[in-house]
This record gives sequence, structure tokens and C-alpha cells, in this order.
Amino acid sequence: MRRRKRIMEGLDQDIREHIAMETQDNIERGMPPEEARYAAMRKFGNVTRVKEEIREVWSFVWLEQLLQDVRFALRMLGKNPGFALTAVLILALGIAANVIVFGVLQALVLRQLDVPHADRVIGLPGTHII
Amino acid sequence: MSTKEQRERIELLQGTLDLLILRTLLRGPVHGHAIAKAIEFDSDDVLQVEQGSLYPALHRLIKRGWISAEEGTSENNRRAKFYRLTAKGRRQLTIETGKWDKLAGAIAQILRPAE
Repeated sequence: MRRRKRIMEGLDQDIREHIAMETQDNIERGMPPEEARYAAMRKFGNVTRVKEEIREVWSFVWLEQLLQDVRFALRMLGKNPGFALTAVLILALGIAANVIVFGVLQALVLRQLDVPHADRVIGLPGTHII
Repeated sequence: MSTKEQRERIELLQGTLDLLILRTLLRGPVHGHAIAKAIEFDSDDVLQVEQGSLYPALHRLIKRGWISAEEGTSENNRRAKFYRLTAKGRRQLTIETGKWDKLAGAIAQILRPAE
């Protein structure tokens, strides 16, 4: 990710330098400066498209690096089974607690009653609808 | 430039730009603008590189590890990135040149079969 950022940052300057060099060449060939610059820009083509294409070239690098990180993480967990077990247990507990709380809430609050036009059922004071 | 001249110039085939860049860098590290000039000059101005398209190609080659880029100063004291062929790129150039020869030969054979 960092490498890609560095590459993209240098890019604008590279393109500017390229067009400046081409402009210089055109001037040496006898073009007036203004015209030389426009000719150089025409010859370079669409700067935005070029930058977009370069970004695409590097767009899968982050995925590769992510895979590297995942492999590293798995290796470290394998090396340290006590820590891995603790982490897994804590995650399991957390997920289980969530499932239970949501399960209860779903049954009590979120689920609509099993009657026609359940959305039109209302509760009256002093009665229990559940 | 007259329109006639323009018609005689040929657009590069997809993928051939990579090969031409590798070949150009065989002579030593140069900056992007010089690569474009070299390709135009060496082909007697027949091959017209849209100069911008050079840069995505250069980045593809960097990503594959066939060339490397480093900061430097150009002949007229401008800051520029110099591209250099790596050992891997040198091997790739041999492979790609072989492939190109095969392709060109095959096409020539179809267009002008031996009588």
C-alpha cells in the first residue's frame, strides 16, 4: 500500500518532466514556445487516463499484501497455541452471548405476531400481547 | 506533419510496446522521454508511440520485476526517473524476442505462402 502511494506521488512530477522535455525538443526544432508546449501535450495524450491505467496496474498489490499478512497471522497463531486458544474461546463466548441476546430479542420484540395484518395489532393498557 | 505522413505511421500492436521498452533498455538505463524518442528514432519514425501510454507499460514492467526505476538527472539537468533492465528482464527479453520472431514468421507465411 505504501509502495503504491509513493509511486503514485512521483507520477505527476514524472509526467510534468516528460512534457517539459518534449516541449524543449520542440522549441529546439524551431517551434514557438506556446505551440511547442501544446504539441508536447498532444503527443503525450490523455494524462488522466494514463494515471488511471497506472493505478490499475498496482490495484491488486494490496490484495497480495493482505494475503501475506493473513499467512503471517496464521503462522504466528500456530506458533503460539495457548494464545490462539484463548483468542478463539473469547471470540466464541462473545459470539455466543450475542446470539443468545439477539435470539431472545428477536422472539420477544422483533417478530410480528402470527396473525393476519400483524402490523395493525396494538397493545392495550392492562393486557399482555405476548 | 501532413496527413499522408500520418497515414504511414503505424499504431503499435497490443503488447509489443513492452518488448520495445525492454529492448531499448538493453543499451542502458534511460528516462521515459528518451525511451519514447528512441523507439521513434530506431523505427525511422514509423512507429508512433502515444507517449503517455509508455508509462502504464513501464509500471507493468516494474511490477513484474523486469525493470527497476531510480531517481537521476537527465542530460539537461532535469530531475527524471531512470529505468533499468533487471536480470529477470534481460531473460524475459530473450523469451519475448523469440515469441515475436515466431509470430511474425507465422503471419508472413500466411500472407505470402511459398509457391
